[in-house]
Amino acid sequence: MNNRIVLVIIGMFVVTFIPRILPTLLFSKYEMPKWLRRGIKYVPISVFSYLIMTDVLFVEQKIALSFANVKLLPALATLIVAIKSKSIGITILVGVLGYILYQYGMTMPPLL
Amino acid sequence: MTYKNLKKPFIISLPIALGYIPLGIVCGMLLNNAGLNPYSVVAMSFLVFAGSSQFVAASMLAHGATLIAIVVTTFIINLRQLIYSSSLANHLTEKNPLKIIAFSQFITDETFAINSRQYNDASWSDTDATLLGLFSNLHWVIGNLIGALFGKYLGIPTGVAGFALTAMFIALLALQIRQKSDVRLCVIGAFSAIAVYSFNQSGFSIIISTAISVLIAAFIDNLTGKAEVDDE
Repeated sequence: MNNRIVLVIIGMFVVTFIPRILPTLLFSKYEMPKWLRRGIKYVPISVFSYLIMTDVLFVEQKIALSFANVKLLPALATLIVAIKSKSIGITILVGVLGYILYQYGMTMPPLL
Repeated sequence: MTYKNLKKPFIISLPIALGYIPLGIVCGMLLNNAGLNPYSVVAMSFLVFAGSSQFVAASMLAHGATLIAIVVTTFIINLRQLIYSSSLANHLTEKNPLKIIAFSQFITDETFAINSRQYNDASWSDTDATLLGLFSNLHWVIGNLIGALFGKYLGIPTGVAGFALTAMFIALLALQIRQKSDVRLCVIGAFSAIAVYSFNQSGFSIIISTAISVLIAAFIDNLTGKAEVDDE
């Protein structure tokens, strides 16, 4: 185990531990300030929108809005499944299956 | 602590295992490919216990990112834990700081979602919630260990593994959407991400994009008077 990896694990542990324990310890004693509560509630959707958009729309760091982008249509289908099912397990299974099928369809020679 | 105390949280943790074990296998495999041996994969999965961050760390390590960039990105991705922790604080009756810490260490997107629902049931205790977290953590560690040890023999294509992560993010986003203003926030967040990422692809673009998105959303809610409604 090299030092760099040990430092990465310790660093990641510290920055995930603090946001987990701080509020429960603090707000078991004090009331949460209003401005913080307002701002913080926008974070999850903002972060996930970012992670999905940069992952799906960009190929080799360039925006790729075409059917050749193998993630685009499967991601759209996955989004519909996610909204309908509200289940993480079903979304992953159906999403990955859709991705495999789409990729297979794209590499298949034309039928005619 | 008897067998009976353990049974209920364990059974409730099983749907989480359905997601954590397969995803953990892929995560452990990617971390192993990025240079972590099985011991470090187990240590990271136990201590960090944050799926999206571990995937991102695997990718950043493989691309030779700096320690600071990885830690800062992890911090940003997991800032949402502040919200989960704050929200769960309303349910906690436990006053012992060590027990509060044990409970909090196991907060994830999934345990937050399930505990929030379980606390509506009067028989659900803080100990049950902590045990649910512990079992979820074990599912995650086991998945990662299998991936680190046998991932290379399973032959999962990286494209497919990557899309499992994409699908998980999409599912977690969908779970967050509860009202019309949430859909608007998705659109704001999406355009902010495209704009920022087109100009800046460093580890800090996620911070810049999130800050812009939060400020715009807060500004709109202030204009429409929605912020006051939500505070009540």
